[in-house]
Amino acid sequence: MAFFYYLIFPGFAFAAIVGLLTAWFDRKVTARVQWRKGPPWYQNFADVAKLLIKEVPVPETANKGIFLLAPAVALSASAMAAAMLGAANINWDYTFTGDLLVLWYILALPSIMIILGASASGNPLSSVGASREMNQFVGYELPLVIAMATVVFKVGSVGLGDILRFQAENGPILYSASGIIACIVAILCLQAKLGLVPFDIPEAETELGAGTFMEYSGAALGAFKLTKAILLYTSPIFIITLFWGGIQVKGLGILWAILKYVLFIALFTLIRNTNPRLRIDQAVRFFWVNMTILALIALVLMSLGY
Amino acid sequence: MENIMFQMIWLPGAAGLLCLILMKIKGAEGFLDFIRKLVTFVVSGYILYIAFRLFLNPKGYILAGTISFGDLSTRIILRATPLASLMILFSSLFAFLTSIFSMKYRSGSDHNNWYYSLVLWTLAAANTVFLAGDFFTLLVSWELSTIFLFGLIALGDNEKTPLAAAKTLVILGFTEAAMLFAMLYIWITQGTLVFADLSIPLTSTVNIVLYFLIASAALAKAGAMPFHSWVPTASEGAPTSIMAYLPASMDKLMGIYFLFFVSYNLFVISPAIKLTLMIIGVITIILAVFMAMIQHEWRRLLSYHAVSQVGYMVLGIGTGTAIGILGGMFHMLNNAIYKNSLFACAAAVEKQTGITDLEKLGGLGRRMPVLFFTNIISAFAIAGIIPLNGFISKWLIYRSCLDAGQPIMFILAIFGSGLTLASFIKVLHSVYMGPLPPELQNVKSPGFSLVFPPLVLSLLCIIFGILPIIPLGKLLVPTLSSSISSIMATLPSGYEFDVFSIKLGSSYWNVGLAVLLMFLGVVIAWLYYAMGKAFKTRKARAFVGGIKPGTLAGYHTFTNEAMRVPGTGFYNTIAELPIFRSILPSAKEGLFDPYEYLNRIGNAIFVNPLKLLHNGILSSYLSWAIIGLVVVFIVLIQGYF
Repeated sequence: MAFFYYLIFPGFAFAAIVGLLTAWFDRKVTARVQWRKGPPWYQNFADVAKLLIKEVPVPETANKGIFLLAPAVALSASAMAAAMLGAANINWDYTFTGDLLVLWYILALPSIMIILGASASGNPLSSVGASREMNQFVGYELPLVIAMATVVFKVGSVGLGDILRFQAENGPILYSASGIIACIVAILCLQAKLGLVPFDIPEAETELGAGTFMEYSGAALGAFKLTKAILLYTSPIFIITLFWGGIQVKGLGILWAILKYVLFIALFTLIRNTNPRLRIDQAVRFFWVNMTILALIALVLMSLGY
Repeated sequence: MENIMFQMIWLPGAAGLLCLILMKIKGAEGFLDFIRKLVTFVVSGYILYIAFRLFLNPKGYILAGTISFGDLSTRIILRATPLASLMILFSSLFAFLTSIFSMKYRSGSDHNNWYYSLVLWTLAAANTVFLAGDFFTLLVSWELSTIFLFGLIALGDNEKTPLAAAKTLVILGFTEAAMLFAMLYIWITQGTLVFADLSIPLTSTVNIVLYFLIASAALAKAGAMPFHSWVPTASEGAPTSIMAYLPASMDKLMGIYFLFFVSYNLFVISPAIKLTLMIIGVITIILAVFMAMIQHEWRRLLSYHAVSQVGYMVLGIGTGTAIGILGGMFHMLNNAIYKNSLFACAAAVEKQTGITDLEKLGGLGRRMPVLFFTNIISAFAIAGIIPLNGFISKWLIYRSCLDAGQPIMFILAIFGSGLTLASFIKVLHSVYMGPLPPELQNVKSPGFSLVFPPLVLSLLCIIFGILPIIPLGKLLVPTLSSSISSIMATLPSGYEFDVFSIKLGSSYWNVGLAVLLMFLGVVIAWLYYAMGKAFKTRKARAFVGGIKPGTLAGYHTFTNEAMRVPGTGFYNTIAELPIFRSILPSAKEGLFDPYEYLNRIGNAIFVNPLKLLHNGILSSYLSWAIIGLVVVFIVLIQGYF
């Protein structure tokens, strides 16, 4: 059962397919916003498939083992995160591999592996990218953990199933003052976790030439692309699970779930199409000052019972 | 078992004495050094063996005699408790690994007779601390371990050594004087110092003061704020193997064990004191980790992490919940394991390259692959990365913050863990990644003696991480249950510490399943590589905007050295944020260091006025001498009137 959850549904295979389709949705909408036609729906599948058959150059300065292992670990961790969230939504009592805190650390693994892989490549521009990714990581981690604490302390449990059961009994957390503020913070933090504009600072095509991913190509890059796609699918599910009552996989619940999902994806796309890239210090300051204050307001409101 | 308990103390003591008297004899230096290494290795190995036997059967009670000063008297007792024998097991392990590590690390150094004897004596003192059944024995062995630490730090051979040794002695000595004072007060009021006869409720203000006087010694030994500043200073002056042995391992074991003992066995602490401990813990976590992030010196960076991690232990113990105390004590063991390993890695690189400045290192990953592996594992363990041991103890501590209803502690503890990761990414990048600097082209791989101890410890990190039944189910839960049975009875009903998983109410971590599935994921990703051409990789130059290193690029020659980006500048973005720009530079010069403040006050009150007297004029010295004589004369003739 666990293998099926992890490998097929709702883990690796399902998350990758939905994630790649979502990425297409995002690209298509962006294209329409910019008065372009946009790619066909299978474009991202074709991209990944093509990366498979390309050779993998490894830089002379690289630590080969880590350079190639990092994308693999990132991919398996993101699939695990997708499977954990999916499993909790399908059956509240099925604890699978762990609780919310475990999920939190598993969601951190892809970022860590991107940093480690970039650092192992030995490319100076990748090193700059790794440094920015790490700065951004500690930047968004603080407001995101406060937003998470708002939910955890409201529910009084770190079990994913308990959070969903609490919302089924008391109404979604989003429908409270603290919940909506914490949710806004979480959306912006996940925007940065996904590395979408305005927080694509570590990759910064125009200045670093893909930064963290600069030396990657072939199957290794394909693994990172898939990781990103799975995370693109996982992030809205993470927010929906924490704040919006999760996903009911029966009857009209599925339709409602798809609506919620598309709404969050549309939000990510909207933010990324209407903002220019920030500098890294602006991003860290944005998260540590504005977002942290906002998140703390949510926390205080929560402790007052709102 | 009584026999074993005595051996644990006298055997390292006598072996240390033997090492000490094997002094320099011309021509036989190499042979004597070999004898010293052999004695230390054999004795510490034997102690590890008997410590294991004691742990399997932790019973024993020795009444060593009675000591009295005037009207005061107390019995001197050594007793083995399950928790104490667990501590001894780990302290012996660290002594044993230090003896192996020192074989190469200290080869060719001066004063090795002192080095090995002090290492062994420290083991004897630490074992006595754990076995002590009365306050007097504990205090004496505690102070001895401080003096041995002073001696060991003084064996360093750079210009910072004198300050390091002096500062350590002053801070630890100061808190130990506080503990001595508290001990005398207890002795006078209660008439005994035997732990079993003492139980002091924290009802009166006096008793609260007593608690903090004693706890300050424990916190200082462990390195918690505000008594932390000796650790970073010591790191730069002491031999690095000593940093691994004492401040990273032994002092954590002694300090946190005693803090736990004082808080839950000797006293019964109140909610207000618990909150104070938690605040101390969280402040220690955050301030120290920020200080660590901006360090450029490897050992200093590690020592700030040694301070920061103490915060988690104090936080866990301060929550007062069963899960929190379990997490705090587990974190103590974990920290001793990975911090010893991290310092050992730094020491091994220092031995091979002579460098501890992160800016000058780089590219060693391919020269020292095993060391690189151990350093990655220990760095990830300290950052609490899944599935290593640090994750489980931090996870327990987070959960206990939830139970204690402390959202701010919960948030800062998790955030501190992210900052720890950032700091170690910097270390890994600076030391092991990228191209080798030209001056390190001839660096050789460290030998067995330098690699084996950190390797064992990092494997222990993995074992404790993926088999939680060993540290929690077998080692800590039974021992803590025997010590604080009423608190441990409050563990959530239906809790399980299974072979591969932990269940504590709503908290659940199935490490076995997670590791199995993620390993499967990695295997699939490798297959994915194999389907592509990843195994037929091609070596290519790193791409830097199409410029070939060593050629003219615009007006600048793009050198090979320019390919190297040291990680030391990684967090300049953070250090230059408006909030930190004003704090951090002054923090580097001791903003959070009470030693510096006391130093300034002491200078103003005592030293500077005394300096004024030293004006170099003979007549004023003579007049002081005459005044002194008059005072002595008056004191002497007092008896005749």
